[in-house]
Order: sequence, then structure tokens, then C-alpha cells
Amino acid sequence: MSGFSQFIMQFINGLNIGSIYALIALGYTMVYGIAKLINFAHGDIIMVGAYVSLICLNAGLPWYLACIISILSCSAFGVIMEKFAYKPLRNASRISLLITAIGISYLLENAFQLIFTANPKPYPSFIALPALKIGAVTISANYYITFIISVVLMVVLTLFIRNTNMGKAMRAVSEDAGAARLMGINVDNTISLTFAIGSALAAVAGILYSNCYSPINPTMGSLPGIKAFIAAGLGGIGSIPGAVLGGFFLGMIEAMVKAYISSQLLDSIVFTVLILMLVLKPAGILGKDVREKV
Amino acid sequence: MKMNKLVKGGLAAVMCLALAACESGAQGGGSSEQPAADTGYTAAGDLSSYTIGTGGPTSGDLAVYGGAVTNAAALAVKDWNEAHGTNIKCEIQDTTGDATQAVNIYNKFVSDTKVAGIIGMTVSGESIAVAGASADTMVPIISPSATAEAFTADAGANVFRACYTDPQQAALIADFAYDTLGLRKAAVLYNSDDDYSVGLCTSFEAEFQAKGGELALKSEAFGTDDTNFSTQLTKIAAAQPDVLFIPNYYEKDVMIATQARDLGIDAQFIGCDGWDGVLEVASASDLASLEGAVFINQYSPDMESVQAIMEEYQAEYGQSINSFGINSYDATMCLLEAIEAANSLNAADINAQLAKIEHKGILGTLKFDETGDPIKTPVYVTIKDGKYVSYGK
Repeated sequence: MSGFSQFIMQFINGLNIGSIYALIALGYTMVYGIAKLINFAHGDIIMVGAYVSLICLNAGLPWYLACIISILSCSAFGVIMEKFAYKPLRNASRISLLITAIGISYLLENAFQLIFTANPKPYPSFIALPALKIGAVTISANYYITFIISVVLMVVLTLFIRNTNMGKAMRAVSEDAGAARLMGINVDNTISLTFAIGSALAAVAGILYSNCYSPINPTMGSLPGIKAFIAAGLGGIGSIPGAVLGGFFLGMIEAMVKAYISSQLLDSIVFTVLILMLVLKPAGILGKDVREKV
Repeated sequence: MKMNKLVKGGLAAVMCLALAACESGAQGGGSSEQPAADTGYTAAGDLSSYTIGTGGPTSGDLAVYGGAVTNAAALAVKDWNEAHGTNIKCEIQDTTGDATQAVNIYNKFVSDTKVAGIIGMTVSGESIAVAGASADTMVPIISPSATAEAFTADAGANVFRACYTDPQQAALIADFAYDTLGLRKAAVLYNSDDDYSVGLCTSFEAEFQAKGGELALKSEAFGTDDTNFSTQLTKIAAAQPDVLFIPNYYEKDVMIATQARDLGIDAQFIGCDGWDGVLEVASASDLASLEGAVFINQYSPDMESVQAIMEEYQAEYGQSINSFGINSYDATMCLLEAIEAANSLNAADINAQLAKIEHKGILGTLKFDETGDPIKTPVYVTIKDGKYVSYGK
């Protein structure tokens, strides 16, 4: 393989891992934009989505049903989580919310370890499309499917927020929840909807992730969750195109550092980039230094 | 606003540190002095009714290992009692894999129960701590599973193990790849956060090159939490090795094998005993990638000699035995045989017997070299039609 096609291959590797980060970061950014909450349990919803779809697949359901059930149950779960854990704290300080989110994250990981044990479980990959061959470069089906889905979801989400009534309500709540309530917007429902959509995205990410990286275990979501949080921060937390851009940017940095610098230095370099970004441009690549964000 | 962002960044960093801290296992220090051989320690009871102790993490993440070691030891004692009409007891303790807890249990074994010998501990870290603490009693200790070199190297003449050390198995698989498989150009993908993986990588590189083999490229590394190896594997693919050494635990082995085949690497996969368990976590679609891989292990499930113990263990505990359990069974039988041959419950007498024993176990003859490491026939396992099969069978 020539140096150039190797570079192209590494570029594609970066896009692939970046699209997973982007999908997860979308959920982070939605919830942050509307509820002003860094939902640290978001990474663990990926795990919930992966396990629910695994149970369905093992029960013999076809893959599309498994996906639908997994997405719906994650949405429901996201709404329940918001109602029980976050809503009672809506007027509490931000740090209490953050600590609650971390608590939920540990609760989920340990509950799933109790139910399913810590042993990794094989995930039957169902994306069985042929790989794409361009010259010396092979792109596996997992790669392009993940990429396409994350870009499509970003576009759909942006259109939804820009053009629908519910999207308008979300933007209003994000700008000023009190005023939105006075205008007759049901703030509670809007926030629930946000959690439902964010968790559904996490379920999609969980399913795609498990297809690429079987076997799965109950702590599988924590590292991608943190990485996606960085991606959301890089792109400008609260901004939807920013989350996707941040995801791809982070995936690309990771691939290039691993390929051409050193895999041992990877995390140091990634976190250095984050710190530099927070110091130099706190709002992120696409974030605006204003309060209203969706 | 700015402040908030900084706080969040800091929080994420703190969380990462906490995660890293959780991963570093407990490490106990072993004493390198050689104490007097006879400490006068003698076990309680008589030759037909004494107690041996066994310990390991029987709860938590590592329960799969600790459970197998302690259950199989108890099973061996039961079988021995039935065959010899004795009333030997086996005391099981949960170390939780923690070095401090393991030393506490060791103290309980030698001062309360006054055991004749210990089968354990299970994990390397806790075993090293116990081996160090045992210098004052010199009670015989055989670990079926502690692979770290320091366990026997830094301990006295009472410490033995029934499994290979990491350098031993890496060198054996390197020889096998060069001599038997005839492979000359190797690549390695190892976990740089894990002592087991790093140790295997270093020993393999040294032995393979000493044989005359060549490394296709500098060994590629990844971190414990990584699940995406495509970047490293792309580099490996470009170097076109004919053998890929994957010295990791089964979960990573499956991921690496499938991703490597996806990227068009057609090299022979080889590995060490961490591969035991890959088929249990491989989905149907992963099996094609694992087909033909060869790894060195303590046993292979298709060996005739292990059929009886596999059935017996299944009937007794309702689950299948693993290599830890089989090693533990042999180690326990070996200890009981040494005590019988010594005709004494004195620690020094038993140690003297263990030093020269040639125990005929289910995995063949088990004997120990002067450091207490085993001399035994290596077993090479290959994956054929989705099953573990002895190589060449």
C-alpha cells in the first residue's frame, strides 16, 4: 500500500470513529442547549440501547424491529430519567445537576453489571452490505453506514428544530424558559421531548457502535461518552452542526495522532486540544458567545 | 460563562484520572531474601485429616478466575478423600483480588486454621503479596494462575506455580510460529497499559528475532479502553506481515481479529493464554476472522485426559471448567501427593518433596524448576470450525 493510499485509509478511519462521536455528541448538545445540563449519563444510554437491541436480536427478532424497540425504549428511558432525576432539581444549582448525572451514570453501569454480569457479550453484527473498493482502499459497510446515518440525522435534526412548531418551542425554552412558559409553551413537555430525541440518538449510536465493536460490556459507553462530550465542547456545546463537526474533528485528530505520532500520547494530545480550545475560544468552533443556543 | 466551561473541562479531566486510577491493580511487594528453610511451622491435624487453604476473587469482576481456582481445588480434595479414605478439608476464602485482603486471609490460614498448604492465590498482584508474607512460615504455596515472573522469582523455596510465566509462554509461541508454522515476518499489536500484554510483547520480539525472524514494523500499541484499532491495523496492513501476534485478553482479541480481517490483513493470528475464552464472546459473524488462529494454552478441551474432569466439574458446579480450574485441580493433587510423600505436616518437609516431585496430573507430568516455575509440555490450541482444537489434530 502506498503512503498516499495509507493516508486516505487513515482519513477514512478518522471519519468512521468521528461519525460515532458525532452521533453521541448530538445528544449531548441537544440536552445542553435546552436543559442547560451536561448529561453525563448520556454515554450509558448508548450501552442501554446496545443491550436492548442485543436482547431483541437474541430473541430472534429481525434487525429492524430490534432497532425500533431499542430506540423507543431508550427514548422512554430518557424521559423517565429526566422526570425522576433531573426535574426535581430544575431550580437547583448546576453542580447538583451535574453530580446527579454522574450518579445516574454509575447507577446504570452497575445495574447492568448486576443483571448481565461484567462479562462481555457477543453482538451479532447485522450490517451485511458489501465493502466499497476504491483503488487500494477498502471501506467496510460499517464505515459508510455509520457516516451516512450521522450526517442524515444531523440534517434532519437541524431542519426539525428550525422548521417545526416543536422545534420552535425548543428554541424558545432554550432562550428563556420563564418567558416561554408565559407564552403558553409547555416547558416540561418540551424538555421531555428533548430527552426523548437525545436518547433515541444515543440508541442509534449504541447499535452502530456494537456492530463495529462486538463484544459489548456494561461500561462500553463511558469512554465514547467522554470523547463525545469533548467533541460537543470542541464544536461549541449547544450547536447541532458544531457537535457533528466536533465529532469528525476529534475522530480525525485521533486517527492522525495514532497513525503519525504515537498511540501512547493519544489521550494527552486530545485533552490538550480541548484545553487549548476552552482557553482560546471557550464557545467552541461553531458556538456563539450568546446565551440562546439550541 | 467562561468559568463554567473551565470547570467542566476540569471535571472531565478529573473523571479520566479517576478512571485511570481504577485500572491500576494492587501490587504487593515480595521479599527477595531467602529465609531459613525450616521455620518449624507445622499444620494442625494429622495426615488423614488436615486442612488446605485456597483463595481468589470469588466475587466481583474476576470471579470467573477465583471461582474456578477455588472450586477445582475443593473438587480435587473431595476426589482425593474418596480415593484414599481420608478426611482432608479445603477452606475457601474470597480475596476479592485485593492484595491486602489476600495477606489477611493468608494470616488467617496460618494462624487460625494452620493449613498444610495453600492453593493460590489467583491473580498475580495478590499472589505476589502473599508469597512475600509467607517467608516467616514457609508454608507451601502453589498458585495455579499467577503468571507474573516476580511471584516465584522474588520468593522463597516454598512458592511454586502450575502455570507458565508470561515470558515462558511468549517465547514458546514465538518458537512455534518460527519452527512449526514457518513464519518469518511478524507484527505485534499490544496493550501498552497492561503489564501482561507488554511483557508478552517484549519476550516475543526478543525470541522471534533471536530465532532469525524479522519484525515487519515497530510493535503497535493501544490503550485499555480502546475498541477501535483500525489506525494501528492500517499501518500493519501496509507492512504486510505473515504473522500477527495479538497478546491480549479475549475481548480485545476478538475485536482485533475482526477489524484486521476487515482491513484485508491475511496474516496468521497467534496469541497466548489470554485467548482462552474468545469463542465465548465471538458472535457468529466474528468466527470467520478467528478461524485458524493458534494460541498457547494450559489445555485444550478436546484432550482426552480432561474429559472426565470437565464432566465432573459441570455436574458439581453447573458450569464448565476453564484452564484456571484444570490447573488448580492438578496443583491441588500435586500438593496432596507431596504431603503424602513427605509423611509429615511440617512445611519444610513438604517443600522438599515439592521440589523433586513428578506429579502425573491430567495435563501431563508437572514438576518444578529451582525457582518454582513449572516444567511441562506446552499445548497449542487452534480454532477450527468455531471450536478449540489441539493443533495438528
